[in-house]
Amino acid sequence: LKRAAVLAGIAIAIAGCTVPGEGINPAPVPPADAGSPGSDGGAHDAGARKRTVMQRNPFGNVAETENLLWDGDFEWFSAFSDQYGWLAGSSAATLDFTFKDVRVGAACRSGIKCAGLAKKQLIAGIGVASQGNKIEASFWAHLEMGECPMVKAYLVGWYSKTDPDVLLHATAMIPDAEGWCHYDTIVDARQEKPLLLIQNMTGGDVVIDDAVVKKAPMTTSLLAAHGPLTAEAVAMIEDARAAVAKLRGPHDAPPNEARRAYERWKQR
Amino acid sequence: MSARRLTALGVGLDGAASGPKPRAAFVGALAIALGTSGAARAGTFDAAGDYRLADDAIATIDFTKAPERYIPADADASCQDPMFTAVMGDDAIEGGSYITLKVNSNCAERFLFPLPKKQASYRASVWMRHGALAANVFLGYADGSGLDDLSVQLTPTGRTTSDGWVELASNAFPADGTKLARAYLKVVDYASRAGVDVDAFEVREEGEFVAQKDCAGLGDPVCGAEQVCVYNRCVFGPAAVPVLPADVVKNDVVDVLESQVRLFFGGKLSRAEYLPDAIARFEKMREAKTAWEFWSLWAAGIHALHDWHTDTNMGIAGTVRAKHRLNVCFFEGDADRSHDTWPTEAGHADILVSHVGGDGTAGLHPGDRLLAVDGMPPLVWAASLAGSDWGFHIATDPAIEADLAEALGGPWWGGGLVIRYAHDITVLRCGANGDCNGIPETIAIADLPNDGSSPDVACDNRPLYHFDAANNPDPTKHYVFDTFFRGAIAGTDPSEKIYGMVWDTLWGANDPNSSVNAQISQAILDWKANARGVILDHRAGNGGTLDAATNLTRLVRPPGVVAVTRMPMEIAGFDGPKDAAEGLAIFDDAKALTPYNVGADDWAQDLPVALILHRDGSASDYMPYGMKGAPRVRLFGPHPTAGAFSTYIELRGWGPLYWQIASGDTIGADGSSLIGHGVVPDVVVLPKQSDLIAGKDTLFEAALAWVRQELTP
Repeated sequence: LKRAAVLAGIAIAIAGCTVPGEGINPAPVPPADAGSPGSDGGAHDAGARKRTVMQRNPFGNVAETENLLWDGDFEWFSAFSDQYGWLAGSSAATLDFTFKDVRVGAACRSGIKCAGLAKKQLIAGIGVASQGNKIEASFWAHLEMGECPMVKAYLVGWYSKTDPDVLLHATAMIPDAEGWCHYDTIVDARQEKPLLLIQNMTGGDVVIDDAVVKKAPMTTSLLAAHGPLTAEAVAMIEDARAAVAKLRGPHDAPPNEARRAYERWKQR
Repeated sequence: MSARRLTALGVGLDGAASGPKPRAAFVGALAIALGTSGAARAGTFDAAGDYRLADDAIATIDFTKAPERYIPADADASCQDPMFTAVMGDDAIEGGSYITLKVNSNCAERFLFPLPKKQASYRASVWMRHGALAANVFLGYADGSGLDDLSVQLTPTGRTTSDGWVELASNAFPADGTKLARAYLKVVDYASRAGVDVDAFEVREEGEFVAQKDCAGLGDPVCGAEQVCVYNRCVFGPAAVPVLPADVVKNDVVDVLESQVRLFFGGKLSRAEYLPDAIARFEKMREAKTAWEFWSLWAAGIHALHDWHTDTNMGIAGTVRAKHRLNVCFFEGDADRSHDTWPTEAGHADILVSHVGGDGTAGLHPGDRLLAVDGMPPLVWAASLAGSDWGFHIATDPAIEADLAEALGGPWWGGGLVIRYAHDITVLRCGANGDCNGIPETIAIADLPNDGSSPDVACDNRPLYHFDAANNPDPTKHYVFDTFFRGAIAGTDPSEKIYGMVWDTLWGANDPNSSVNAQISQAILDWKANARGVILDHRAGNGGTLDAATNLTRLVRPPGVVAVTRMPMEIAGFDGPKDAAEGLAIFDDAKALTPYNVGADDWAQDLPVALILHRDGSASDYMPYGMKGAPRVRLFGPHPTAGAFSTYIELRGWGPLYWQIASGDTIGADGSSLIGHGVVPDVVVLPKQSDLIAGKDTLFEAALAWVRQELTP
């Protein structure tokens, strides 16, 4: 609450600059330093302006510092990573350390980087459990077409059905004016580390950003529908569990001549 | 021996202790709520949304015409033709045109720009959109200038536009324009199949010029707080790191980086022993005033986690050329021929020359002893680099120093700590008569020539190989890496049928048909069919995947589950089982879910198998753990393995800034937590100085002797 109040004060004080603590007001509403004397540009002229300018935090959404996902806002991704905190696959059965589709810039809800998810594709965020605590799982998705529930998301146990597999709810049926859908669900305490599975069932590309899995106050009401999932969803989740089971243990690729050549190449 | 000791290690990494900064304090700095520190802006946007290059920009690249390219003389043929297209369009962020960059694999585009012929400090920036852009400014100094090249990273400032443009900028960097041969913007696109748009590159004068200075090893105060002594040259740190987070978000950035280790790092021992120190170092970041100080404190915190899987890197030494050569490998040993005059340093093994290259050896030979580095015991010196060496690497087991010993020597790409950071070394040479009790000799690194035509020798803790020459790794290189070498042991009688394997990787890739698993499986078949004894030489075990470790155990034991993996971290901030009973409960719960399976029904029940270890971690911990105790197995090594019983997750900033964090633990069938507890060899034996002088391989000889007495009838 204190942070929110302070940030609200900032927002008022600088009237138009994007708030740095982007978790509070992460939407890339382009207030544009173009209209802010002393920063970029002169008078605001929405009719003639070809673009607006915004200030993002290049270190991402730092407002949530207890995120149980390794990298919920994708800011620490690189195409050169071998073993990153998100898995990807063309199906649940092919989930692997192959996440590569990063998006950069204004397409993202916060920070500089976010994830692209082509139609029918699936990504899975690796998290940790918080035993004895209810969990709130949320993320944002930007849709090109379709309604919010066409992005399917589940919080599932990594290994087994000890914990219920939960479908995350969209908070609205249709995207907001900027094209974003918000998904936010509170689930009961879990025993196993979770996977946040997100599947694009729309007909177009989707951008994913600001995924957060965090402890929720125990007094919070559960918002998840714990009813049975569809047979198709159950099968998909089982495939995902089988895929990640293959990834257990360490992964240390050997040094080789190619790596040394790359190191030399970097020198000039 | 010199009594001089380094007392100023950790340049810029150990600032004054400070507590968290009150959040409310950031209300003051609201005028420009940037995500990065208060560097002056480059260009600005006009009312129409067009970008205007800064009035005081002293260099730009004009993308309205073909920019002047630079192609290194040794560039691959695939990198010769232009790898960009010019685009004229109103969507350019500046000037009506931009380029779309799409470079070939292992290539880059380099666009030349002029800098004034004077000594000055600059800041560079460029705009990009779609995908991502690796961008750096490269300053190439003229031959004979006496200056090292400098590569300057550009990272996001946070300024973005609604149509997708993202600004990248450098920290201020020094350039001596009077001695420059060339300056160029080097760019590589990634994360976009269609390529990345690039526009509005500009360079502005900003900051104070810092001259390159020679230095005499790490900690030389001549380098000041913002530079680090690498290869006897003060290297400008800010060139290699991202911008400093602005005051209004600095605490939050620290919170996030800190939470990554608090929530996800380690297992029982590593969290208890190492995490508090790391957190304390992270806390100092809140008071950092410069980008270099901020990120250096962060790197020191990562290294304080003291874990085999936990690393960071960012390539500060990338463009600084090694000026000297020491084509020599060291390892831990027993200096039995020189203890009379130079006793073993308490708590540390002796350091001996394992093997040397064809030249550039400073006249050192196998068996010669490294007594000191910069006046300190070699392993104490190497451990002290944790606060300064961005590539610092160490075992998780607190008692194991094999990684440090191996990294002392060798080439710049595989160790080379002495050449990179030391001022001098003190050695004790052994005479041709085997006398090692002479007078120590201190060699200044600056006196070592940087010449010779022989290959760089890699350090693999193997003084010798033991197959016929055709089957051995090349002894002039020791490049084992991801190759398997097999054969009959040379010098044994054919009737003994003693075979062996030399290899370093267990990268099975969770695929039974992978190259590694296929070779292990074939070796097992061959040995079962033909061998009466086997010697496995895995003295530079780089790890890999669990399946390959399992695969090898199929040779030596019946099926079973010897441990369970719990990784990456299962429960946020889990400090490990409180006791064996809780550990056993975890083992029982996970036995069916995440077992470390070993053995096979058709294991070779009569075949003696010796496994030689030295510097082994991760899957190369699991493999000996799974073999130990098998009826016909003996492990030979100088000390336990690294105890890296976990996996890791990689995280990267923009550009070369990289880190990975170990996460999770392994619980043995007895309920014990394994992380940080290396596998203890059955036969603990150190390489002897006397054997090295005599051309013998102590560990191998011990293994061979045991196999010979145990041969299958």
